[in-house]
Amino acid sequence: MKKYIYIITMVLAFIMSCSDGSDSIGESQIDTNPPILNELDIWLRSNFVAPYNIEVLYKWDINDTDVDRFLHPPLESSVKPVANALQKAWIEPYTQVGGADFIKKIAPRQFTLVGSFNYNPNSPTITLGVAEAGTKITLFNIDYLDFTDINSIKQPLKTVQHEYAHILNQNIPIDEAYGLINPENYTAQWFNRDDAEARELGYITAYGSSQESEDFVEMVSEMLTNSKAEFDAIVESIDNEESKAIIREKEAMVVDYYQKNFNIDLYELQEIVAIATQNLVN
Amino acid sequence: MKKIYIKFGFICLLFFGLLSCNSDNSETLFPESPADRIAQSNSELLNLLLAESNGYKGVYFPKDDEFGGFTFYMKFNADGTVNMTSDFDADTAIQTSSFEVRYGSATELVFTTRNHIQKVSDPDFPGLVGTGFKGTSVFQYFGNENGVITFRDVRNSSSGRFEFMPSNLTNFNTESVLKVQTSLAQRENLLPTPTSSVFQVLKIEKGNKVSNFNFNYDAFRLHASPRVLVEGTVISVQEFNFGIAFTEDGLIISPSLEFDGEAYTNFTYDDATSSYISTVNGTTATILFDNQPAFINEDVNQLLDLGPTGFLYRPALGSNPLTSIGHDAMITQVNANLGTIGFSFVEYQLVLDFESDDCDTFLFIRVRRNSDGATFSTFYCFEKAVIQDRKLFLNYTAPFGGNGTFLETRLAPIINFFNSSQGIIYTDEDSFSSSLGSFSNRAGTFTSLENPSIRVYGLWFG
Repeated sequence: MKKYIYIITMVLAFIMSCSDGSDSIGESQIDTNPPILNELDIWLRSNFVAPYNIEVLYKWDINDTDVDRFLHPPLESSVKPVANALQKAWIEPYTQVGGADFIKKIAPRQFTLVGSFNYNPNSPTITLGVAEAGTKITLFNIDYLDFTDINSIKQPLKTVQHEYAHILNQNIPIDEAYGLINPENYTAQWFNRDDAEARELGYITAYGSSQESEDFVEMVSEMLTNSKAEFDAIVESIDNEESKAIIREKEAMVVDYYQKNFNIDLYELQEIVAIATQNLVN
Repeated sequence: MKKIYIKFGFICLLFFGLLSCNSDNSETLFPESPADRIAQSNSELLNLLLAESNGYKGVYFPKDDEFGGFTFYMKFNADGTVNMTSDFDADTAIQTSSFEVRYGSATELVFTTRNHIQKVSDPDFPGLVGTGFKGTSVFQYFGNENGVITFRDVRNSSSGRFEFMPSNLTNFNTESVLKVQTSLAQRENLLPTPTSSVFQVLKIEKGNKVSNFNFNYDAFRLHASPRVLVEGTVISVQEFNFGIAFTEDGLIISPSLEFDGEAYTNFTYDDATSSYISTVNGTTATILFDNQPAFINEDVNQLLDLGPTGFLYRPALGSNPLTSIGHDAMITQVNANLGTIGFSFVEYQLVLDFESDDCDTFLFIRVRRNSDGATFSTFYCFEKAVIQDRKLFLNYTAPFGGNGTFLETRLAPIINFFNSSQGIIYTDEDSFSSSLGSFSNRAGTFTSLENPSIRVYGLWFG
């Protein structure tokens, strides 16, 4: 009997310590009001968020970029042409060759568009784009693109093709043998070379001569921002026959990587992207 | 024994249960939740911005320890857009972009897309590549007092400031543009003309006491570093620093100049005297072009140690703002004089000697015959150089050689420049730099006190 008295007393003691809960839950304290959406915001939601779950940020948030750099947001008028270029020359070709879900499954979830150039401190270089953890790509200097000039249009597309190739590599790593083809001239001071000098050493661009992973994605981005004829012309312009052969060997490995791992014919993708890019020229 | 443990355990458990009760009657510091207070702060600012149907006038100093400031007119609209113009440059057309009031590290006004305000943070600005004027698009709301809304820059919190006040315009679209065009034009009044003295001085008068500062204005950065001699146990040079923003009728400096117990901020342009004047408690601070520098340093004594070296002014080496536009006008005059006989000016060199009157101090001027490009040398002799009261005195005697005699009258402006009866001010300028490059040669300037609109910057060689 005593045992029951103890138990009842204990239960009562714990019950008395409980509050009645009358003031514990109220309305959400988070501001859930929808933001003001302009025509551009609605277009971006319809064309990127809804079909691909990709957010295109163009309204300034100082935390989206390096706070120590002096950068500024884009003109609103610069945003749609760049977003349209991404849609036509990156998303749609990959979708056509890789399948309807290819970009939906593997893609950066966020693009940040910055109007100004991004100058690197204490270095004679600018950063055209940044990819972070395979989820976000930041494109700089979009206010300075000229949509009457195909080379200007290619600049952000090359950045995206470059960064997207990194994202693909993060999903399926490249063959280690790629980095053993000609590792002897990789350098952190790649900016002291121009592209022509790098090609004579067996790298498709100067930046490609910085390290193996950049070498691989530079090959991809060069192939996907030039038609096959243009790319072949670049390779054939190399004087050093050995370097020319090295780049052809890398080309074959890149093509093989896409075919084996993603069932994508890179030459077919190259052709579709080239036509789409040409159609973007005003 | 076992029962004792059970009872002891029960008592402990009972105390634990009872002590766990809490009345929760703590002191309430804020009646609203943090989220409500953030929302209130945001809506307070947003309501303020939207309240002015003809917008605000804002003066933005992005970093007043390096740069000056700019004037903006902004009209905020309920649809999240802002109309804006500024006196940053000659492009004053009103542009529309987006803004947001949001909470970051504080309630912030964010100019979310590009407009005039982003000119201040443009890293592509020529001469300031990589940083621009170190401005921002994000401004922390610091309060609203007496109708002035104060914002601070997240990055330059101590040296950056943006203050809004109601524009008091009746038609934003037309009046704001005229206002910024007027304040932009005001910048010209702080710049020298071909006839104004190169000695830009800040003069503070308090009772009978007059303090003269060498103004040291950097027109590119809209920033000044005035220097004044301060008398104490030893005489020392005290330097101040502030940015300048131009207004329709004058200028504002930031931070205020605090000197001798007074603080000067607002200056009004006086057209009659071509000067900017600030009056505080019966004292005045005046920015003007004076016939003398505020004080003369001892740089001229360095000339005694130069030995057989020459001072060279050669336009082909590039320009430097220390060569005054009055000097440029003098060279234009010389070229006009020479042009009548088919010649043009190439360069001049000054060689100084402090011991001999036997033409060891001389001016060598080279000219070119335009028809075939051949160059000719002319020489003009001076008595030995003399330094007195920290000034250099050169006394012209005569031309040397046939060429010198033939061209003397045409080259007279250059000869007269160095033959200043009131002396010449010399300043040492470290190594040479110009629009075309830099050399390790020592550089300096000469300014005529007889005609203080003429100053030349050149290098020493030999």
